Amino acid sequence: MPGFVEVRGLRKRFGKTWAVDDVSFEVEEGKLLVLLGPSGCGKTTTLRCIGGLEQPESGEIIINGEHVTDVSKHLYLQPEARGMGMVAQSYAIWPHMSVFENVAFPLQMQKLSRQAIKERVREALDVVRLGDLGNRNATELSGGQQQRVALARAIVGRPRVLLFDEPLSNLDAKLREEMRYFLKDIQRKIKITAIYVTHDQAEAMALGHELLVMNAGKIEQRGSARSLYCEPETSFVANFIGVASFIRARIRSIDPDDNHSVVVELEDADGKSSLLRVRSQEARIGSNVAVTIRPEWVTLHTIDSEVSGNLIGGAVHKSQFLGDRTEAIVDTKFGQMRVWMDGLAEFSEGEHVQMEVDAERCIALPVD
Amino acid sequence: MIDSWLGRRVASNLRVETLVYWATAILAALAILYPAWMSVHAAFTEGGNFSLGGFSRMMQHPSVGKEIATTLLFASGATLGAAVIGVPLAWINARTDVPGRRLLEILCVIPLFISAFVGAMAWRLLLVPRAGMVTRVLTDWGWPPELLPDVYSITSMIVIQSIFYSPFMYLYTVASIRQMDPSLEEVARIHGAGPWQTLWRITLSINGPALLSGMVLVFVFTVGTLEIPMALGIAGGNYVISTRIWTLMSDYPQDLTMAASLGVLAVLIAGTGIWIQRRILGNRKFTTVSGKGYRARRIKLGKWRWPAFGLVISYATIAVIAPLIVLVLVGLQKYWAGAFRLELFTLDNFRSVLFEYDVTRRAIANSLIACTAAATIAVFMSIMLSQAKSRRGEALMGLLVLLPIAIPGAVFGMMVLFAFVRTPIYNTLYIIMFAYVIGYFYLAYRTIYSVRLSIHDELEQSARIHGATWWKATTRILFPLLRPGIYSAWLMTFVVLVREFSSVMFLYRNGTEVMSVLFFLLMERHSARLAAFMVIQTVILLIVMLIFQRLSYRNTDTMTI
Repeated sequence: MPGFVEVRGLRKRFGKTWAVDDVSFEVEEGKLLVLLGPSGCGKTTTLRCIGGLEQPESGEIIINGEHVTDVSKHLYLQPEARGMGMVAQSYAIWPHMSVFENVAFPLQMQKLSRQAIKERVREALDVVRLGDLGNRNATELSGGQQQRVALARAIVGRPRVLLFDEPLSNLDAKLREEMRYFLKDIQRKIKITAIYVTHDQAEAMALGHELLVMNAGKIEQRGSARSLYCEPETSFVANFIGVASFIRARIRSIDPDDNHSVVVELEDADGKSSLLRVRSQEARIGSNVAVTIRPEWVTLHTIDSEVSGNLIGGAVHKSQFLGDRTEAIVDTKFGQMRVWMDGLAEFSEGEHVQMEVDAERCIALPVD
Repeated sequence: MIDSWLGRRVASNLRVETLVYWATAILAALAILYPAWMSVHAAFTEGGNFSLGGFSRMMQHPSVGKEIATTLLFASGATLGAAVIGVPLAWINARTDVPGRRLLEILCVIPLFISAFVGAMAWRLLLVPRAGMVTRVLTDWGWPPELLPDVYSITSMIVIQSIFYSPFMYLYTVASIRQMDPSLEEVARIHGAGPWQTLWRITLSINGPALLSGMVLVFVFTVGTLEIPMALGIAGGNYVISTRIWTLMSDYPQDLTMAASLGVLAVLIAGTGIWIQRRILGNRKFTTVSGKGYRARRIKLGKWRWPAFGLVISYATIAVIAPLIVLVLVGLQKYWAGAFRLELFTLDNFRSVLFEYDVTRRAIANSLIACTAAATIAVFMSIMLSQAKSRRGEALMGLLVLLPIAIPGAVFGMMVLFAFVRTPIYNTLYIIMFAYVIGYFYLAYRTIYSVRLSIHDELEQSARIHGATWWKATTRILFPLLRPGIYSAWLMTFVVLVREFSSVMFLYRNGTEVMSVLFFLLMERHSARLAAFMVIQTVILLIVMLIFQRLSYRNTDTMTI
């Protein structure tokens, strides 16, 4: 089934660098897709191309079966002809208009009657729970309120697609979390197709039906929050989403019953090696891998406790109590690893430990 | 013990800076209010008694009514014209990807560095009936003479005034547009507004306050200017209030009371302009709520890139290039025969103006001395005044800065004359310096104050805590940090003072002529020599401008006027 929004082969260049380099994806109707990546990865440029604010060098953008950009045919629909709504990073609330006038603007552009505008604005302000602030001057509002005005303005015209450009990045941490739930609620309620750009992984995981991780103008991986976290396909994704330590290794053997279960050989500086059982997507014996270990996928044991299997030895380099957990940085012969354990666990710095690695979760990623 | 000793030291040091601030502020206030009072007094007094004679003669005067109407037409026309020119230029430079922006940005402010009087004289040479360079060419091409623009008409006055005052509009608007978050426009596009709707409903509306401030400034300047009304108006029979005041003050029989009454009227007109601006603005200041670090995205003009470039260049041609060329050409001729003739080529005009002709040499010296001294004093005053730390201090400063702006230039010259007519400084260069400083220190003040605002008090305070006295902290910490502001404030003030014409016309005497005044005195005599003289002034100003540009290229648009 073709998506409601389709992007095909999108490329955009700034000077000599390709900000967006052959990006294709689609968004199903009513779903929210998050474009996630570090700054400069091309996510905002992709969004701006969809909105018609940038002209791509090649590619097509199709909304509901209709081309809005088709470089091969020199078709670039003007932004105002695309039927979209947008929440900008700076909210972009027009300072010379009241809240009502800000929200009414898209409707005025659609040449609706005065009465209809009044009703629809009221409706939209109710949705964002700003019902009684219509007469306020836009600049008198707090950051969170401005954010909601921007949202009301973006949905009031019943756009086909809603674009979010890092809408929460200017809010303080607490408000950001609150607005995250709020945005999600509204999107799920009015079932509008939305594309959401952010560099904040927590925001992305909370909001998106699906996530698209971008890096250096290309798509790294696409999937649900859960699959990106648990089954990263590249070390970039593993590192960008959540926290991970990486250990270089080589695949020694593959389980004959389960070809996703492998044994890898780690090698330290002295040439001594130890073995570890982990998972792998496409294993080939002898290939080099990076074993991805998330801090909570490791259990720490004292040196004298009797545990067997899948162990790496090391010494606690630093440890700090963080309330809900204690974080330890452990020196191993294969490099430093970050480990999270129960908040009350106590290991002293310099103490020798054994680390039990979860064979079902830790994953060997191919390296080139 | 130590505590109380420290306490005393801090207290006494604080007193020094408060004292310096208040002394300067009160002096500055007196320097404005005393002349203002003297001229109001003059307007209502005759023969030592209260009288409305000046006003009644004004009402009965056969032409003053028409002159007031002309003034209003001239001022509002020039205000609109300056906006129509300056705002598009600002928008092109600030928001589009027009080619050669760096050059265009400089070209758009150059007219500021050329006296409008000089510009008007140059255009007179170009457009004068029969002998004008442009008129001749047009006539040769068969252009019907009745359709030739009349350089002495009120329309020409308005157009030329608009051209030379549009940089003010440009500077106000460009700064404001540049501060605007481009997302404000983009979001409008996304939500259904076309490019023109966006320009009108978003860009121009948001920058409305800045536009209005610029317009009010041009309006007040124009109400009080003598430059174009003297250069073109008198010859065309178009008197305005400022030329009438000047005539009443300088021609026999003088009527000082009526002149003062007209001055009061001019201040009222200017005040009305300011009042209307405040009414429209109310308390609104569209401080754009900007996100952190948005990129300044420019509008892609596509096929309009070069037409936009051409537009800016043609403005520069009309305002700067053509006038300068004609003045240089005329200056290089033995006498002006309506066109450049190789056989009349000579450097004598430049030589005589610079080295032989006593009056011009004296005027150049007078200008340099008076403007250098006045700019320096104005900068020092501004540094002292920018220390205002209390609310009361800032309110007083607001008034001090507003007053000289609100008083039209010619009226200000008259006021200073009234204030000092019976003192020893009358007839000296000091009275001109006084008018320069008091009339224009707000230029220096605004620049320095805006830099001062960006310097944290803590920097100075920590110097004090580490043992520096107030004077040490000021000279070692504050001055160096203010230095960029000081340079640009000084240069800016200097340039404006060298051009200044309207107020000095009331204050010069034989021997204290400055350059701009001498232009007027030589106006009807030797046009080739006058042209050479004007070229020399313009060259001085352009050199100063180049230095200015060097020192503050990165923030040309922040020079506040």
